[in-house]
Amino acid sequence: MELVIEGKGLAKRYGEGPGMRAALDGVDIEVKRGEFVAVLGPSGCGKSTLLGVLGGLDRSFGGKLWLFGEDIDPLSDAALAALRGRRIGFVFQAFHLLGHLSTRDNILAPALFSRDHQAVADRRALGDRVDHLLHEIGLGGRGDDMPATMSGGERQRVAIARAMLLEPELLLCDEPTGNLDAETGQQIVELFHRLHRDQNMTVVAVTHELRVAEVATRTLHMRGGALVDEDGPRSVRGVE
Amino acid sequence: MNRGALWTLVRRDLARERGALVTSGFGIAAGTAALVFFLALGLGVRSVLLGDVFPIDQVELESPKANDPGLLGLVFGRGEQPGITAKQVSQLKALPEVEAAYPKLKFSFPASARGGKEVFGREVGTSEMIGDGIAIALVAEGDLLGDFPFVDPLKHPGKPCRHTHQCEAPQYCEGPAGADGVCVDPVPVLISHYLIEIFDKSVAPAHNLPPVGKTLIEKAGGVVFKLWLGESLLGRSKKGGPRHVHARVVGISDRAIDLGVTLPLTVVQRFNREYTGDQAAENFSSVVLKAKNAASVSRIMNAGRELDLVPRDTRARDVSVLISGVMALLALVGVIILVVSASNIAYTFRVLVSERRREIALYRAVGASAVDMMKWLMALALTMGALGGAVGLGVSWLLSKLANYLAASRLPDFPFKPDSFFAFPWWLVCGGFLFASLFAAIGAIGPARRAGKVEPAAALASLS
Ligand SMILES: Nc1ncnc2c1ncn2[C@@H]1O[C@H](COP(=O)(O)OP(=O)(O)O)[C@@H](O)[C@H]1O
Ligand SMILES: [Mg+2]
Repeated sequence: MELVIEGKGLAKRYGEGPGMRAALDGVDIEVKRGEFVAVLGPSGCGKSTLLGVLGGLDRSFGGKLWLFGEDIDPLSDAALAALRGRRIGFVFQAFHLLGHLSTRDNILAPALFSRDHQAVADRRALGDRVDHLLHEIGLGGRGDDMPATMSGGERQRVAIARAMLLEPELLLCDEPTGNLDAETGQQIVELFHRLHRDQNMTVVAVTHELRVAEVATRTLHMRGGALVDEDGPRSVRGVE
Repeated sequence: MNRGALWTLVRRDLARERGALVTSGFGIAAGTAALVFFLALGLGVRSVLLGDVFPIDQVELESPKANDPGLLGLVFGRGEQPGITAKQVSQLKALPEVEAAYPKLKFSFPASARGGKEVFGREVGTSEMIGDGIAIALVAEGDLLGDFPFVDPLKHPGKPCRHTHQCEAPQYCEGPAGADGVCVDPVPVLISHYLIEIFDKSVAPAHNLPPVGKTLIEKAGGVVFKLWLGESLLGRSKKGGPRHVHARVVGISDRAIDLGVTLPLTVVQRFNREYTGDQAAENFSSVVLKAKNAASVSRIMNAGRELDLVPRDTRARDVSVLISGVMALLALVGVIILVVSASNIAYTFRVLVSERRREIALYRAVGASAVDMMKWLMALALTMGALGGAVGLGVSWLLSKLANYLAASRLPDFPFKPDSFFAFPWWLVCGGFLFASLFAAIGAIGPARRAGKVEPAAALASLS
């Protein structure tokens, strides 16, 4: 099966000298097309750092990373940006909706930077796509609402619609339910589940919440910047 | 990112950051307004001074000995001026920088004038009158006020006569005193705009005379006056008997001598021969050389120096240098304001970028490159600069209208008082616009680079 992500010896350090911390410490990871991988681990173990590296948001890391079979190291900033824009969708704990834009314009944000994407060239089809996404996330007809008037769960659904706009092959989620109450969080988890199941979307979600893992096809565990065996002891990979 | 997307981002910014952008744009507008206002003022004053008062694209050359003969020279030194020969004139005319050469010949004898009853209601006169002769071909059709041509009246001689009363008015009897002559039309003369300005704004008020103005002369259909030859308050000519001829103002011309009357060259040659001698009739007293462009005037002056001729007047260059200096100084004020507003923009944009760290990071995540983000901020700055520049241009234009209005209503009349003290050539308008955008862009460069350097991963992982 085709590998969507292949990382070897991924490493990331913050700081210098005695204050130095290894946020990622030799992570080997493979994600196949169509998988739903949950990366579970306590706060501070390096999940967000890992996701930033995997999504090409953070290029200052050690090790090798292939995305969709392509070594990202030689890619220019613009080429990597284009790859992110067209093939990867991001969902964050803090939603990161733009407060000055309506729901519709928030969802359309990726279209600004991918002009030659076929889905963007056709303005009409793009508008229909937004309506379709709004409907799919249960916010049909609320395209003109401003984010400030929406609940956390609604905002996260808008953020998911934004991530889905250009029909990416890979969805990367960082604590997507972290800011939501249990019930709303569950709805979001189900939305991911549906995307994965119905559209065969490849999903990597990092979280410290077990319920995300419940819908995943595979669960990885992370401690102190490294992936550990699910049932193994904490110190399998030399955690302090 | 295409231009449409860029404009979408900029338009949204203009809407949501109006306050901050207006504040920064204000500096740009003020700087542009000051810069354009002062440059337009300098250009306007310069065009009045150099166009009407001191033409800069021409130079009048004459023999060094004729330079400033003084009043005594005028009386006693007549006929001794070496003058400029016809050969010298043709040599100068052949210079590549010279567009046209206008030889001139002054009266070499004393003269005075009386007349003006049609215009002033009473006779007025000058005790001294300088007459200058120029080639007929030099006078443009538009310089003439009515139907009277600028030609030597002897071209169309009438019947023989001895006294003017034998001729039909307005003709008079032309010929040396006491000799037989012919009836001819009055000698056509041209006067200068300068003379009219000086008369209207200085002489007329002092002597309680109405301002003549071009219109009044036009209405009079050619003012006729008497020109006394061979005698004036300062003395009598050595040769020839004093007599008077009739003269008619037929036009107002840039070619005319500033203070005095300008006649057809052949008429002056004849009078000079009558009152001084042959040499005074054959040589020229000066030659006006019109340059192909103002920059080549100095080369023409050098060529003239080789023929032992000197410029009559270098005020044009002095004035030009003076205006340029003052203009540069005032324009500097505008530039300083622009520099200050560029640093103001730098500050505003730095704040903007740090406030938008998350927004930038999000755009990066959804496909924007670092260069896209720099383009975004530069486009915003350029738009602000263009808007500020447009406002500044508008303000400077309004200020110029106000200044012109105040000058017209509050300042007393003075010679060459123009209707407008300002000139807004197209390049000044475009330049003001470009400068505004340029300084806004300079201010935004640093913050735009910072925007390109925002680390998306770090900004997006944070919860706030
Ligand atoms: N920008 C940073 N500077 C310094 N240390 C950081 C930075 N980002 C993360 N870290 C550290 O790296 C480790 C991993 O952080 P992070 O990936 O955010 O963990 P998680 O997402 O699992 O909570 C933490 O110890 C954190 O303090
Ligand atoms: Mg995290």
